[in-house]
Amino acid sequence: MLSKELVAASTVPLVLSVLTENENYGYALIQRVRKLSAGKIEWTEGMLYPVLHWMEKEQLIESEWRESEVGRKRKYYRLCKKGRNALRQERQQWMTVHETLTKLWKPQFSSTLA
Amino acid sequence: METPIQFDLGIAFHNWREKLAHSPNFRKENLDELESHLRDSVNALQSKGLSADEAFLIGIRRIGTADVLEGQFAAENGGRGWRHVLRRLVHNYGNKTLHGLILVWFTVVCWLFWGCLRVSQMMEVVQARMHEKPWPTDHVPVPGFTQMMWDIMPYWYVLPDWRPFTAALCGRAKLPRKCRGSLFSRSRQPF
Repeated sequence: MLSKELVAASTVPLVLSVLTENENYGYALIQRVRKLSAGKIEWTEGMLYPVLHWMEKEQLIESEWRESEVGRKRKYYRLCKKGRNALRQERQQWMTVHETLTKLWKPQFSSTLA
Repeated sequence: METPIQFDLGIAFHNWREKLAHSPNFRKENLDELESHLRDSVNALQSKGLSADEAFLIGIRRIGTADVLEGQFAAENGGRGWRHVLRRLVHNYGNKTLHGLILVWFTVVCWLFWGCLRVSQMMEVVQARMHEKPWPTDHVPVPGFTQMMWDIMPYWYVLPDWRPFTAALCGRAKLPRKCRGSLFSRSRQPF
């Protein structure tokens, strides 16, 4: 399980990344992230929506109410140009952290394993 | 045998939504979206073989309690700007204010209508006429007794019935068997 802070920090890049695949609605976004993380990233489902609305306000994404295949209306979210740029930056930052940690932990792991 | 209470998903969704709607932190669109999410969640759980009530319980637990949701949406909708303050005021006092305004409006309309009737002016006119004008029959030349009867016309109804005395004075032992009485006498017999 991820810590609360890390969940909060990773929400925006995760949402942006999932939306690069295709436009999607809230519930499906959560399911996608849960499936990819094998249930390790667990969001309080209601928590996602204020984040999505904030992202929409920041013009990272845009939304549209549309009739779904089950006949009910759903709010679909789509990535905007600003969102793509934001994702690029996020990606660089997360990769930097990831690479640094990987380099730092590599000898430590081998030593502990040895 | 006691019949088990049927769990109605539609009512459950409705009640859940109503509970959230009490808070000013949710807009209608937010509630629509959350309800849509809950429905998806419950449908998915039901397709895994859970009963409706089990699916609903797990669904609302996953989406978060009302307090948690309210807290999350407060930052979005319950800010400090005058717009938010106004929204909160309308949510809390809008209904009462509207009812008050309707009451005031109704009162004013009633008052104006009463004024249109001009009841007090009409009564003044009637009183003036009653005092200034002679009795309608004053000019009719009639003999004394008839005149007196005319004069006391308003009191006819409360006059005692003198016929037993007149009968006694005139030497008649008793009244005629069929006495219907005069129109205004108190002793008028029932039909």
